[in-house]
Amino acid sequence: MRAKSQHVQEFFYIHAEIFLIGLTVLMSIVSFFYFYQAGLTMEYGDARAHVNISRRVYDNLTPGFAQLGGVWLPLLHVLMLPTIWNNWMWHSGLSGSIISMIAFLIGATYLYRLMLVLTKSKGAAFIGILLMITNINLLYLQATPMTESLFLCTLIMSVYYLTLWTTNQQTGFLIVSGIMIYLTTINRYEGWPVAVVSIMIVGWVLLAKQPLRKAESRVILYTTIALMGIALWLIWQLAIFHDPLYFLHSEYSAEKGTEIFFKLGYLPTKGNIYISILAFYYSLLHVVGFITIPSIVLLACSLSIFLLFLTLRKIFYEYLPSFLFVVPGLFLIYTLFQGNIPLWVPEIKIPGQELQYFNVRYALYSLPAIVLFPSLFLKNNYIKLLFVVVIVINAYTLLPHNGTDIATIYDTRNKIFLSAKHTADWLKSSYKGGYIMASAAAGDSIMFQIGTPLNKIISEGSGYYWKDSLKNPEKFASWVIISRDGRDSLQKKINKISMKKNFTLIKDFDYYKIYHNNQVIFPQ
Amino acid sequence: MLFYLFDMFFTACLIYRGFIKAPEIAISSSDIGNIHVWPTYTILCPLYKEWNVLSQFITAMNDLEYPKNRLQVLLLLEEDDAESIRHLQSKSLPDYFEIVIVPHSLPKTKPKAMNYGLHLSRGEYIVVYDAEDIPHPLQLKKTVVAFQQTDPSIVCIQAKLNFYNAHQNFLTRAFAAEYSLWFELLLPGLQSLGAPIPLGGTSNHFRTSDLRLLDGWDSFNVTEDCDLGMRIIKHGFGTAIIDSTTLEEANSEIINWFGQRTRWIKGYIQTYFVHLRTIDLFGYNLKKPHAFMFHFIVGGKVASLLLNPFLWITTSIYFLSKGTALGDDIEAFFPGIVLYIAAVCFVFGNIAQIIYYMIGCIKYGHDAIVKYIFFIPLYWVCMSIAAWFAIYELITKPHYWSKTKHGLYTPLAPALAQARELIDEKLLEKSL
Repeated sequence: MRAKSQHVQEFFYIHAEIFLIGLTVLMSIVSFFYFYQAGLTMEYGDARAHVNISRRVYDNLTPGFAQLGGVWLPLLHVLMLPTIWNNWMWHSGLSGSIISMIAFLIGATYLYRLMLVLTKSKGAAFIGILLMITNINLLYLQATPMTESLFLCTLIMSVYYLTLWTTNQQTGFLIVSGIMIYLTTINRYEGWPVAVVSIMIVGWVLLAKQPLRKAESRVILYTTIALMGIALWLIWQLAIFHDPLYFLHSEYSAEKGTEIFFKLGYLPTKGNIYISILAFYYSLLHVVGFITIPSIVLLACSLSIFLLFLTLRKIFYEYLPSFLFVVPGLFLIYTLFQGNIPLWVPEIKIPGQELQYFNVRYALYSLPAIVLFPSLFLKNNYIKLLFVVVIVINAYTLLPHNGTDIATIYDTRNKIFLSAKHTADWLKSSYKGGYIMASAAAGDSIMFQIGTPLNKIISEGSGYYWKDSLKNPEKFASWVIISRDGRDSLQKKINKISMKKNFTLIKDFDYYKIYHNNQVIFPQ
Repeated sequence: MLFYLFDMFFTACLIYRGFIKAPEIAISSSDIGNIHVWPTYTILCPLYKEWNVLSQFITAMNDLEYPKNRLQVLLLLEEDDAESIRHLQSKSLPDYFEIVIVPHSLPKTKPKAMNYGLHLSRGEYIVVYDAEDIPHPLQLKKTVVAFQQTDPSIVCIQAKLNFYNAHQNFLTRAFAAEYSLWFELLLPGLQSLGAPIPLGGTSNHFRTSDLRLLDGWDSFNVTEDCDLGMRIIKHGFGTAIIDSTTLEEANSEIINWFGQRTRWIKGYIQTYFVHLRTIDLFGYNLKKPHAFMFHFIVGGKVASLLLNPFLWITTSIYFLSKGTALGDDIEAFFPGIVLYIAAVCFVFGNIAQIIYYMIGCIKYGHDAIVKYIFFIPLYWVCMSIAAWFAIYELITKPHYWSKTKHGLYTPLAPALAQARELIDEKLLEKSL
């Protein structure tokens, strides 16, 4: 009996990666179906915008790749192109969810491999990865067409290949790592500081291990690949919008987006590093769990040990790339301090704001660091067992209890979302055809819910139709939707005299106003 | 446009295979040690007004670690090159060297001289070296072992080529980067696919009997190596790349470079037209689409050189004039899909090419050249200009052989110093 049990143990040990993949696939699919049947996979306004951006490439008054836009980075939208043409894949969001799910699987597998390389222990690596695949917030996001899962996947892969490279100096691994960094930079802006730090790490390792000439050539190669995405994005912005920094200046940029929040006093982190760190820390507790606390301690231990050895001139280069996992968190703190994004947690009260959660999902970018660093300390079986218990309790605490929801679901809820839902519900019953004019910011969420083909929408990406309609809104549009968002370009640029003369305010929701063209018979 | 798109992905595939899989034949010293009796080997060296680099060639041949009594070096001189003949006849050459004077006749080309040499060869194996070549000392032995180890259908083994004066100026750096990409990554990649391989001008080794079976070289083709590579495939044979390098002199003068490049491209066009006549001989095997590869590698590459300037200009003008009447006209003229593919190829294709060049340089060891790769588009412009000259020459003087001058690096102290790092001091001696 004992021999049989040992045989089973050995079998799982040998096939740990296959077992891990199977378990991850199971977790991924089950959680997708759970959130899908609960109607939650498209709850994020951003999720709807992501699928719409990709869909617009085909389905638009002026279709084309220019519809990929200029503020959000394009990787997810490009990856959705092969399937987004299908109405069901678009409306269910499955076009993007599939990518998130695949990315989740690959990310988990590579994080396991990375931990295996660093710990040389399948047990420690396997236990560590359990923390990732049992995180309900990540399981939710990997079921949605959001960029988080994809970001984690490419980030983890880049660190894995960089780690392999530090151990054997094979240029092939350096190239693959550079390609992964490139993909990270065209998925989320958090990837940009990661790229810069990764170049510094590569330079450090090369200067230590190679003659100057070899170091120089490899740094140039790596930098060219890693920064290619950023360069291409700037070229794209220049080509499409005639401004390489359009993503920084446009009305939909983070800077413009947070202006109103700042005026309303909703940005407590701006200019306050303590609150910024605190907000980040609490968001970690909400989306990753209480395990954050020991994990941060162990991360600090790892860093201290590393620095201690550094002073003794004994550097364990293979651990160096892992510190890249810390960069998105530090960047988040920096952007909070700069006031580029709002991040609300219940622990930090904001006067006049009843919502408790906003953008807490960003803390998930630090999940690989929280998974990895404890696993480096799983040296004996008792500690491993203890860690498994901790993981189970941590996973349990993140689950909804007594009518509450998980943090990332709360994250989706806001007034704008509810107003968009009411607007969409009303329009769904009243809309019988004709062009709808609305800015992308206002229109994306509503149009998605109505289910109107996107070629019935006149927005910023509609070229001539948009420009002409701003002057003469009555020329094409039967409906005009204007939001109260200060960023809504329609609100600012539309010919108000013409609007007053030719349109009637039909419905005024909390956030959106719906106008109807007087020359078109209102559908009864 | 589809060609460019395919080229982008296909080149990436070749780079992957060439870099990660490294399919070139690698021969170890223990493999060499297993052979005790070495077969006879003929070395063909066509010379025309190049006596100034001959001392280097003789030293390089002398350095070959191959039994000299098994070597036959044929120095193929043209009848009208009186100066070289006089210089050579006044010297006492090693006894395995033979001076062959090729009778004057037209066309006056390198392949014609080599065909003449082929008739006089006694070696079981045969190889072509240019006068400025410095093959790796073990190259002949490695090749013999490689022939024994590979499939009998492999009738040609191509050694890699690179340069000993790569750092002389930007032109030589770009040339070295191009060769590093071609011989270190693309040719091994093509070999791994069993595709037709346009041979390099020198250091291609054959069993002499196979070469005779193939009727030697096409005397009228000014890029006879490319033509022979295609004929090898048409006969059902193959070419393999060996991990041994011959160092050459990179062209360091722009006019000289233009002459050489114009001839090469002209030869590619000749090869393309000649082989189109019997395209069916490439066969119709879907697993080995040789005809498609031939169109792609020989015809497509030349076509892209000719088209590139127009596409660069049009795409640049489009992006610069976007939103203006001209931009709208360009947008209206090209179907959307063409415009998109063009834009993708223009941006991704060019950046990818730059990265490929860097990888090629790193693989060979030209680390100091990598930083210059950002300027390689200037070199591409020169190649396109040469391609248009080639079209002109193809019409006006199709069999004209623009002779490349060699020994241009020797008067330059920095270039000499760099060459000394790569080749033996005695190879730089001018006296015989």
